[in-house]
Amino acid sequence: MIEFRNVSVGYGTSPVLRNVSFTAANSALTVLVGPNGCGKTTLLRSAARQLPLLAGSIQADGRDAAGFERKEFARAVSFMPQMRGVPDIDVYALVCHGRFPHLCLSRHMTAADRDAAERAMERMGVAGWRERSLRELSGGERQRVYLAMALCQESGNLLLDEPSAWLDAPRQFELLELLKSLAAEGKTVVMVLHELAQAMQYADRIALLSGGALRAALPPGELFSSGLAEEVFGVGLRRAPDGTYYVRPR
Amino acid sequence: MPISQSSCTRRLPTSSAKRRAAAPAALTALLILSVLLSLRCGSQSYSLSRLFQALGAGAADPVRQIIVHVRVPRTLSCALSGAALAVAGVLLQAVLNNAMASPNIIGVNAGAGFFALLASSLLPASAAAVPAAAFLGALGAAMLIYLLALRAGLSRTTLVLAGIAVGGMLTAGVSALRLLFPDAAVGSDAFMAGSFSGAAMERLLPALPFIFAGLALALILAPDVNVLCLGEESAAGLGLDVGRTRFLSILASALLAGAAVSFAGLLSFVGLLVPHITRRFAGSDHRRLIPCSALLGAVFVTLCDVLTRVIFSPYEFPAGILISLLGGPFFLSLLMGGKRGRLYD
Repeated sequence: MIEFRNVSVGYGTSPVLRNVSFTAANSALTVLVGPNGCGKTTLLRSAARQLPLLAGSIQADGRDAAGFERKEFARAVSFMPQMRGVPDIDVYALVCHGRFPHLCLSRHMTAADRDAAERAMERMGVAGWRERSLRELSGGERQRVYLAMALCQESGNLLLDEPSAWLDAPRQFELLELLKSLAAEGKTVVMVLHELAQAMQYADRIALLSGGALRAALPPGELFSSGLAEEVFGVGLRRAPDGTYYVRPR
Repeated sequence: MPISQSSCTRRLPTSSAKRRAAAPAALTALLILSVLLSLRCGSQSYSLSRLFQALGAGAADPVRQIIVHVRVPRTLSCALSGAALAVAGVLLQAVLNNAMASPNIIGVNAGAGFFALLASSLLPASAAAVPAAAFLGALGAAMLIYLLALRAGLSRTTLVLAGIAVGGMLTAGVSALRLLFPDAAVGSDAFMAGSFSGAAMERLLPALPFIFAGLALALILAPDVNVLCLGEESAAGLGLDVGRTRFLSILASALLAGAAVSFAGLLSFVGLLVPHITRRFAGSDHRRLIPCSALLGAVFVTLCDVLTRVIFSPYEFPAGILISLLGGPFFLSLLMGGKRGRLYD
């Protein structure tokens, strides 16, 4: 569980977002949406402790996130940033880095660590690539490998910045289904998506950011009826008879 | 629900994994050969049997005198400086996330050289002061470049240009010191080019603790440096103390580069060339890359030094000249050939 309490974040002293309060619950997929530059990534990075808070606090699993040790925090919260390095290592080696917060000083992988890496690779469907170099993979393939690394951390909370970027449409749907099933298993999944219709389709709860503030944190159905998303994005949001959301120009 | 497997099956050639695993053993064998060659060859060459006979002989044997007092210190100096500069290059490239970083290019060697020369000019009696001063100079230059990179968010190209500026100032300082103290032991032409002709245990010994400390620190840091190479945000997300890992890596590279410069002079190219070649066959896992670079650096410098002794025998010339003459074209061919852009992504 990740709880934002009156959080203000930004760069330097000028806040990008002020006074944000909402809770991303266990067993739920929470999606941060908003127009470009509204602070989605900033808020996610602050939850991952990558950015100091200007005010307020963030609770992870009921404890102040600032009070965790580095590795203790990494065992509780995985973070997949938008910008990632592409070192010249093979897929298995990259996924194994997800065990880093679990390793002791000798940095030695135990059998349990290797099992966790295998499970994560199976889950993301990258086990067959284990000997391939990360640099030979396409952007979408790398994305899946990085997600496998995040899963390998075996944390209760996943913070993902645009995890479906680079993926083609069928893989986007597969990924969102997978994240939903992870949430169903009890994990807290918080992610940034820039596609409103997809967010509406898959999220359990949507945090709508705009104008430096949180406009709403509601389940998709309620957000739809409030009309807020249409207003903020400046598009028409529709729901087809089968329940599928889609956007169209106003 | 697992995500479906892509049908794409571009794989690393299976030979690649085998080659990576075999690299340390092959390099160790190569180093032993180079060391034997370096002990044998010179203005006077000895057969292997004569070499071993001399090592077993009494102190009066003139060949033993040459081996023990000239060739052993010289060979050790070559191997250790090569290993140290190569590992310093590996660490700086990882910390600065810049394939062009090397102790020579970003001014670390110049910093070490300037302070080594200063110590040798002001404290001519104290041999032990030289490596310590060189270490401080190397650390100062490396930290300066790193802080510039951190504060100003310098791009990779700007970082290298900043390094060239810092290196240029320090090199000017070295030239000024050479004019002011023309007799300083460290300030000879041989020192400027990088040479082993004056190698002696008295110059090597004070630097040994720095080299061993630097190598040990580099090996201990290897797994953390691997995580650092995922990018700052991913590394921090995995619980790595990014700032501490970077600082310790810079410290280790300064220990290594400073120590190497203190007895081998301003050798260029080793710290740039060797890590790149090693990555080609040993991969980017620093747990293997660091020892393999150390071995290859040792082999490379030792062999170059042997060549400087035999090409125009009985005359010789500074090894640094040959290293640059061989290293330059070879590095250019690395840049041009193979997968373009690989060095810079």
